Amino acid sequence: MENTTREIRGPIKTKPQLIAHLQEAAEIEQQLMVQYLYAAFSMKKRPDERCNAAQFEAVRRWGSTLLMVARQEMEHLALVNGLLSAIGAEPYFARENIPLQSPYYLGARLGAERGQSEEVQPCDIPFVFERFNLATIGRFVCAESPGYDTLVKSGDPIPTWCFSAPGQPCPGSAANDRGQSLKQARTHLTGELLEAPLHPGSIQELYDNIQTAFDELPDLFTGNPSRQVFVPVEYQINIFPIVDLASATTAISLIVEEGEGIDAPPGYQSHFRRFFDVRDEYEAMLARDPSFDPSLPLLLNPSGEEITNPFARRTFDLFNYSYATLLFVLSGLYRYYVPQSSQSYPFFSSALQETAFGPAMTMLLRPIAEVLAHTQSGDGEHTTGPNYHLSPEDEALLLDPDRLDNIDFFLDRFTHIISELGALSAADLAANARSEDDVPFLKRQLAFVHESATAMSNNMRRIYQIGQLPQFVVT
Amino acid sequence: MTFAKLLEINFQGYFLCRIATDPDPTNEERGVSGYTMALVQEDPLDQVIRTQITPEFAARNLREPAERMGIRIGVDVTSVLFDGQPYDHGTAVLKGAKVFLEGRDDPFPGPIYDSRNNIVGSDDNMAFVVNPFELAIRNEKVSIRAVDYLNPSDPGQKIWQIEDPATYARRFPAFTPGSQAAQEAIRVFDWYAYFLDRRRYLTGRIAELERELQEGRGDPAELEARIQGLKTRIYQIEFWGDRFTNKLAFQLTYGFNVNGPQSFEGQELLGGQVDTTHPWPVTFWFGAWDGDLLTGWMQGTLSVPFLPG
Repeated sequence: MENTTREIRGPIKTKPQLIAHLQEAAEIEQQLMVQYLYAAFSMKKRPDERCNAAQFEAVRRWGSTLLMVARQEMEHLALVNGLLSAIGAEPYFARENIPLQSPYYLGARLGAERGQSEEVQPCDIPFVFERFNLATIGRFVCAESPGYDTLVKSGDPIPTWCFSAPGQPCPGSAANDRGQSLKQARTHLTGELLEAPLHPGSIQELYDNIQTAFDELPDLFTGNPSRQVFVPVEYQINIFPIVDLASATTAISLIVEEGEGIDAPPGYQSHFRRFFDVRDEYEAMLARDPSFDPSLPLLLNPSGEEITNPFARRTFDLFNYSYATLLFVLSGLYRYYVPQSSQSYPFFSSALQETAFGPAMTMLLRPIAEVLAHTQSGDGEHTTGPNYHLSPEDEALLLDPDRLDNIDFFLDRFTHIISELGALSAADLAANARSEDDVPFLKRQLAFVHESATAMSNNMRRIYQIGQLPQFVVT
Repeated sequence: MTFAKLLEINFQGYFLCRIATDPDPTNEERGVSGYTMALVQEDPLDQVIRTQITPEFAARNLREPAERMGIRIGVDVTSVLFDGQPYDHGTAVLKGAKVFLEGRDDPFPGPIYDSRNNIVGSDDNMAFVVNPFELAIRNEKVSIRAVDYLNPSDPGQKIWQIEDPATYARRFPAFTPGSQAAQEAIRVFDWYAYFLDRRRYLTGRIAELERELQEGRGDPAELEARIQGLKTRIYQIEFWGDRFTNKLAFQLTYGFNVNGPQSFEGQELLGGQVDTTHPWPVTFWFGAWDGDLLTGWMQGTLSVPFLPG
């Protein structure tokens, strides 16, 4: 898709301003990722009375798409941290908690301020944790959508629900329907950068500004090139070293191409296009069967106070503790990364790297989230999901990664996680499961994740001591 | 007298493994984010490496067009050598005997490729331990069994409890990404055409089933589910692309001396004596993996110290 709305506003004039922009981008990438994950983990894992066998196959495909896009948001977050590291800045894995309203997705108001309130205006896109439904996937389409002009020029389908026009107001969101007034997200931009209005509904301009700064600011690449985290290309993610203008440009181009499809070849399956197609198929299926429901009844924007079932609350807290642990591992990895070939005892960087990606993301966090989705919240109606909450203490640590230099800190966190998983495994699952049919799943899931967390902790300690384990050595 | 010379029992054939794949958690039963999945009419994914299956299991889980392609799940003995030379006496007794991988790795109901997404093995490096390893070869005349422990000093220890993976590193395979042997075994040398043909076949089947649906033949709900299942298979092949195609030429080669119990019932029929006191060498490989059909090729040799006469 060709980019037709490259309006550059608030040009970045200094390196601190560039760092602030990259922190904005990192925060948004992570916020998008956790919303996508929340919806993905809400999707049904087997057919039921409101999701027949044929419908379930479509649900599985949509889950695959959602999780792939979430992985690529993680990739974007990693690349933004690579850009930060390349210019000598600290990694940035902090994030403001959801729900909130990002200024980048305040469509109509900022659009009006900008004097562009002609026929069509983008709608506000709230950041909320909502189970997978038509409104949710519609919101995701809008979050990944290029601007209206770009869509028109490209001939791509236009998600009409993302834009308001005379006689066609923006659709309400579940959060707004509940009367919640969303908190306005913080910004890292200061001074004159705040005076220029943001382009509504597009991350594209944020990255355009960042690209221009990389093109124009002198002497940017003061970071240590050997501190660039590298993850081999797999599972549709590409995390590569960023050491100069060429690699920085590649990273930025990859992010906007994957997301909105900007400057991508014809027919490219951007996040926008993939989400659009999922919504399209879902809408057609709903038209044929209005009772179709692809997801479990997770709470909207769950909070600890709402979860009155003690088992669910303990699992909920464990998830957040585990998620914060993952962010600490990533921050420590980006702060202290050393290529494996250059390491000697203590093998701190390797210990973090072999924990961070596949193991923690797929074998710890996802299983706990899926347990939550099948656990009663306590209100008699809903199950719950993770709200990825970061406490002020968590955030203070993430903003000061120099303090994440001790393996004992990470091992202690794993000791707590393993202890909690052991306690949850021993609980009366029948009393807490969403339904009797879910008890075997919960039992199996908790026992398995307990075993895996134990092995992850062993690996972390062992790698720290001796370097790579035999399974990670490529022969 | 020592048993220096070996009786080599050669086996090969197709296996089936309903495995969840990274980035799905290893115990995912349906498959969402990995490239493998259980279709809605099939059994859940259970990770188990099956070298033999019953007709009932095949009816539920062996996907079309496997049978039309000549794929029959079954790893069987094909020949027997003694000291490197054909041993007709042994071949007469053992040819066609069925090879089984037995035991279980809880919560999975059989032996699996154990890795847990880069925890106890490595999905990135294809470093999968076959866990447990309990090889059995049986027919109506003989019954052979060879067991290997991950940690011989504590045979009951689970892999996730073993603090140092060096303990079982001898069980990791050597990985060959573009194996000629794997391609020859299934006689497929153009991996891209192979999956292009598959997509064409699945698309054609969808059209056939849609016609049946329109003409009111069969149960509509069942037909709809089958159509959607075929669409999911096409989705997966297209979504993962190279991750599917390049695995057709994968080969994971294992080799170790078994450190657990060994037994050979019916050895008198071979015209000699088997040594069960010294470790038996076993080598085998898995490869030619079709991530759509969930089938692959296994080939190997169990070597047994043997004294003829």
